[in-house]
Amino acid sequence: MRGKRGALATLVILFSLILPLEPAHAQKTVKAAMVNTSTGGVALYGLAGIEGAKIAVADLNASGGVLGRKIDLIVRDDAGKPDVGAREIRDVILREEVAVVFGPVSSGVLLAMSEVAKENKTLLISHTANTERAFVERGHRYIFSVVPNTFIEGSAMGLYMAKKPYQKYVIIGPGYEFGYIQAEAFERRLKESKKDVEIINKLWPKLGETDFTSYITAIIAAKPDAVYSNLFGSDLIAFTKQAKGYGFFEKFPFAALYDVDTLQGLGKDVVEGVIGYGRGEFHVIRKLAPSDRFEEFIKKYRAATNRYPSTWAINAYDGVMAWAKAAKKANSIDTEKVVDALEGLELDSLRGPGRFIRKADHQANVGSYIGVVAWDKSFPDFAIWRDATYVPGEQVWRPEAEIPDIRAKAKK
Amino acid sequence: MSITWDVGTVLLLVMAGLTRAAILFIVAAGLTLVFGVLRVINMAHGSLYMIGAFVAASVIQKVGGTWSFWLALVAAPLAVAAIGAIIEGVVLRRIYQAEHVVQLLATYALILIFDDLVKMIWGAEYKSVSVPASFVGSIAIGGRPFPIYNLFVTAWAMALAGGLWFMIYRTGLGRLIRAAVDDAETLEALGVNIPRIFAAVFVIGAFLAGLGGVLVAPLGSIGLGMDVTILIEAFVVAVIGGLGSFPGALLGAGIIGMMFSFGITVAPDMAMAFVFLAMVIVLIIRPWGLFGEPER
Repeated sequence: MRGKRGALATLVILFSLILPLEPAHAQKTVKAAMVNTSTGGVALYGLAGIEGAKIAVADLNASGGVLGRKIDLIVRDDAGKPDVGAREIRDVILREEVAVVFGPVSSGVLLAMSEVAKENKTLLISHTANTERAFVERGHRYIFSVVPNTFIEGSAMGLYMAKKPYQKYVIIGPGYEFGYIQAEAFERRLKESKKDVEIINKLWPKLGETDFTSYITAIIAAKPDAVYSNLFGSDLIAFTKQAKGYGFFEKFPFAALYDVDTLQGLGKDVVEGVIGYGRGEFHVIRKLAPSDRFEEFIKKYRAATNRYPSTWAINAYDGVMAWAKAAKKANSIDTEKVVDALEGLELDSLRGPGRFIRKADHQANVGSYIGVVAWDKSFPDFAIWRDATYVPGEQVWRPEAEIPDIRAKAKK
Repeated sequence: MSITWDVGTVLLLVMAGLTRAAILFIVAAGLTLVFGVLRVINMAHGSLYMIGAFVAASVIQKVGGTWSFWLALVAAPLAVAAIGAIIEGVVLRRIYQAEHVVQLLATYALILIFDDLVKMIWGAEYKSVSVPASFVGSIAIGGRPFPIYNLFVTAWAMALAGGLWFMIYRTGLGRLIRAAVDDAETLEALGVNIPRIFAAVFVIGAFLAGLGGVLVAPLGSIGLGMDVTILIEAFVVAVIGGLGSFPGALLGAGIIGMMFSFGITVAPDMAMAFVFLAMVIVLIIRPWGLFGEPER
């Protein structure tokens, strides 16, 4: 008798371990997933995105969630690797049955994840990875972008630099998907907007390069009028510090992704006067599109992380909010209906009013922020920008008429 | 591309190549030393280098002032050496007799563990260490400015190479290490405490990784991911020179440093390919590396 009861008890314990207890409100929650990078060289961006999304979900849940249902955010690490990203997104779609997926950091990972989203007809909103190919050439019904894509970003800088008197450029960027095609957009717009410009050399150090000495000497040897770069993060920090020792910045005007993270990383090693650009700098948004809502977000982000929000946090917040607004508009979380609602949706963006998603390539008209790196009294620990401007997305995004052609060619 | 090949340019490229070679040598020397004696490819060698850089950043930030860099230069490698001692005692000592695959997996697991530990302790943010005040600025070499700190790193690596050479070829410990590389079993039969030699060698290897981390800190950014980057390059250097060979690491680092420096200037798209091509060619002609010896 005792033995039997004991066995029964063991069985009950075993089952309670295997079967997760379903909370009473389980029916009511909506599952959303963020597959983003939280380990490796670009973890900083992924972790910022995760924090931004968490704040968005908390804000939504505080006001009753989406359509009366609380949101349950599942976070997965893609480790910055396409195969891991594809595996994780497949897993959250098939096993967790999420309504939407947000992420990732790397453009390479995005392309891999996008295939899985397409195959499973699941909504994927990109807020950090921005290769245009994912939205145009390989775009499909289920992928959306709330981050300036490479075309917008490169073109905005092409337009900006075309106003400068430089003719001979060297381009240096990270040697992978993002670096190549963002630079391509830059080159195209620069040449369209200014005659007699010449790209005399293109250098592609590998992503995560730590020693740029040879690249710096190569640029010095080429003697350009200016240097355009889409290096970012740790690569840009290393490049800046090393180039300084060669008197590089006295010789060449230089433009690169000096965003908030990079400037914080550089600290006192920053070089004043270089041109910075980014996808949503809090110090610029504050000036150009001030709002209580944005200040509230900054406060929450600082409370959670003790840091100022980077563009990755801001854009991830916008991504989650875009989905929630579309679901409300569609009055459903059904993917097909939400996708219809997202096409043409006016965003409630932290970055300011007037942002919407166009139907042609599911790209939001979010633009690029450009300024000159400089110290400011309000931030003693890191430099920000002066003379900051915003180039709206609709001024520089790919002409809609080109999209069908590119897609037709890609199909062949 | 239009490069003017004058003496100044060539000199600049040589000096640039030497700086890269210096860091590569310091890190690869540790990797190759450990392999030569312990017969373990320590995948976590890059992690130790990363930790060295992070410790240096903390020391310099906390202490501040002119002397903080010198303090970091001593403290960080020692801290990393201590971590090395723990790794050796807790993990490696148990798997010396195991297959290479087991050793690779175990040290690979350490990469993941250290990645998470570093994130827990220091966070994912990038850190930057300024060039120490005494080495700020540049001097003219062949009419071109060259950073003084890079010269310091190169000089340091040369001094270290001399020191290591002296240790290996002129001291008692060095004699034992060379004997252990040659034939550990016979040495043990002669009554030498092999486990202690193994531990000492691993600690020296870790020290070198940490030292590389400190020296590179003012040159670059300190962040997650720097472990894997250096590991691959140091591995290429060690393989070209011959795994286990100390002069090989020196020559390998020199070759790779120059290949990067000149390769990037001449054919930037191919620079990385050149480096691996060099490794492949060496592996075809001398599978045991330029200075290595065929595995018995």
